[in-house]
Amino acid sequence: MQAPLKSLSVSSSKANGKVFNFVFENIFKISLIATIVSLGLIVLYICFSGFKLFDTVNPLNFFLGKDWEPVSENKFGILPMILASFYITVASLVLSVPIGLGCAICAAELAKGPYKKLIQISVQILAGTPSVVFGLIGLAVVAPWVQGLAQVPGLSILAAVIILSIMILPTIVSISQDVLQSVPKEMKEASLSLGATHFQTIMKVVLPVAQSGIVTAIVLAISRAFGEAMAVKMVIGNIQTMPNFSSQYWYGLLSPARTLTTNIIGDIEYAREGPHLEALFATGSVLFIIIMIVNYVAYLFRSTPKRTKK
Amino acid sequence: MSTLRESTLNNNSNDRIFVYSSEGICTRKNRLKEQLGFAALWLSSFLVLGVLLTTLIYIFAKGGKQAFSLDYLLTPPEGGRNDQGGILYPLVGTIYLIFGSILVAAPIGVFAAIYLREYADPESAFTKCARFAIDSLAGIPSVIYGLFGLAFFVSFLEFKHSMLAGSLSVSIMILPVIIRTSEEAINSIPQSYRDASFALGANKVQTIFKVILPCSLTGIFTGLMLSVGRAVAESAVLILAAGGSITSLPRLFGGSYPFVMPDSGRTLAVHLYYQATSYDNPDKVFATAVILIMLVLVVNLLAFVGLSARQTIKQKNK
Repeated sequence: MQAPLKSLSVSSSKANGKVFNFVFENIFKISLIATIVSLGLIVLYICFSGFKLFDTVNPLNFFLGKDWEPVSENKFGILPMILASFYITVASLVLSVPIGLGCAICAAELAKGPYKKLIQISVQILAGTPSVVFGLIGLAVVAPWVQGLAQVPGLSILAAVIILSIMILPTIVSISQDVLQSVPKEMKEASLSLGATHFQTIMKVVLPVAQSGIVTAIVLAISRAFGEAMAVKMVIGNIQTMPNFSSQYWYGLLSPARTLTTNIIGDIEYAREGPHLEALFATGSVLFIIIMIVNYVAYLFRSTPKRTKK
Repeated sequence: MSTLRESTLNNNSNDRIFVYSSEGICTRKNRLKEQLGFAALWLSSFLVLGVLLTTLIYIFAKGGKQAFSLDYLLTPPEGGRNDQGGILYPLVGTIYLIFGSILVAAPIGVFAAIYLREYADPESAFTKCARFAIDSLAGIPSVIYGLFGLAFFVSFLEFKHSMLAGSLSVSIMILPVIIRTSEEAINSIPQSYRDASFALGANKVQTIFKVILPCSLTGIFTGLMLSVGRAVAESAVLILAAGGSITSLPRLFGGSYPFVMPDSGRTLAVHLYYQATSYDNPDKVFATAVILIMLVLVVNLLAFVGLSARQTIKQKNK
């Protein structure tokens, strides 16, 4: 750290320095303003392009319509997509939260030395793996498996749920592990000294203390699952009709579907200027608003101070 | 704790007492519960490891052989859907994307982090607004960035579907990553360094460029590598904003507007998507996947090296 200090020139005149300070402070400030402006532009462009749709299409038909026939019949109903988006998000959470949380507890409390490192590195690799690679695995492995499971086309909600639940694992594991490890040692020791077993300590002391952090991890996972586009697009079939929720189709799991994100990715290739493109932007606005609400909930949980009983 | 009371009451009865690893006394019932619980926990960690390992092994087994031949890397794609060539153009596109997005996002991100840490009043409305913007940008899904790129860069600024439009959209996406990691790096510099610099007569800008930036360089490097990883892995944004042309080598400079990276192009991730969904040659998909995974791994490894370098510096300072 001495090297930069030695080469520091003190000889520059004070007036010169003041100008420099002023100029650079403003450059730094403008960079930060640019960040704020980009968020503003995103909101502006997505929502304005989307709201134009409502000049020609009744909002009720957009939100509650069951048919999406943008080219032939000018029908823009996104209800099936909203339902499908929520469905796959909830289903992948059901699959992913117990495993992810278990893995996080194992890494934070039980695993030691190289095995703990191994879990951490694997989670890092999973987090960095591109979503298209997961989509490829879905196409090559999961979809054929689903096809063999029940005589249906493999591209289905179930395949998407399996792939999504793998993709949100690292979010759940890494954040919960951090939170679990930050639980004060004294609390654990107090519980152990009262005669509780290690498992009782985990269930009754560590988990309750880490509660808000774990909820944050889950909410962030919801946000990631809801916004994922490419991997889901590759395995869900992208059919715009209402998913078949009958018991014959395992309450929807075996039927193909289309989510809000895959609607955008799938239709953008042939959407022309006009209501079709506007409808895709409107879909984007719906997605954006839902994600912002979810993120706000995560923010609320993160900023809640931890309850410490005195 | 009812179970605890139960275990002490049971001391006199037939139930035997176990001393469990000197951490407490427990009954057989509690011990069984503990063993079952721990088995479930270990099992879930095996599951996570297993999923990752099988994924990696499967992909490498299917595509490894093809991927490690220079031939595949350096021949242009040809044959359309039959996919007979290599991945030269997507590779070039990926390099463009990395440099294009980092060159834009790195200065803005690092400068914004400097402003947040060295100038801004943490309680002011402006700072809170900036923090809200950074948090929100970090949470927006990539499709939205793609739609924005399509509406703003492609249509409004008339960049057309080009690598430039794609890179700029991605650079907004990676901004929050760079700002957060740089901020953390700057934050970990002890106040005494700044005081020492000021005491030597340096002004604020000199202190920032000659003390704070050099000291936080490894942290900033980690942030940059993490964002390169995200850019390489990104596909939705680029499909929407950069198009998917693959017929010729994308140019770096063009004669007419928008001058820099004016051609539509694919990155490896986008090429993988098209290979997987609409091409007929399954072997090559896995080869591309191997290359992509290796690239992301190397970048993440570099980030990790930066991170551990920072930690050793920290320990030295203590």
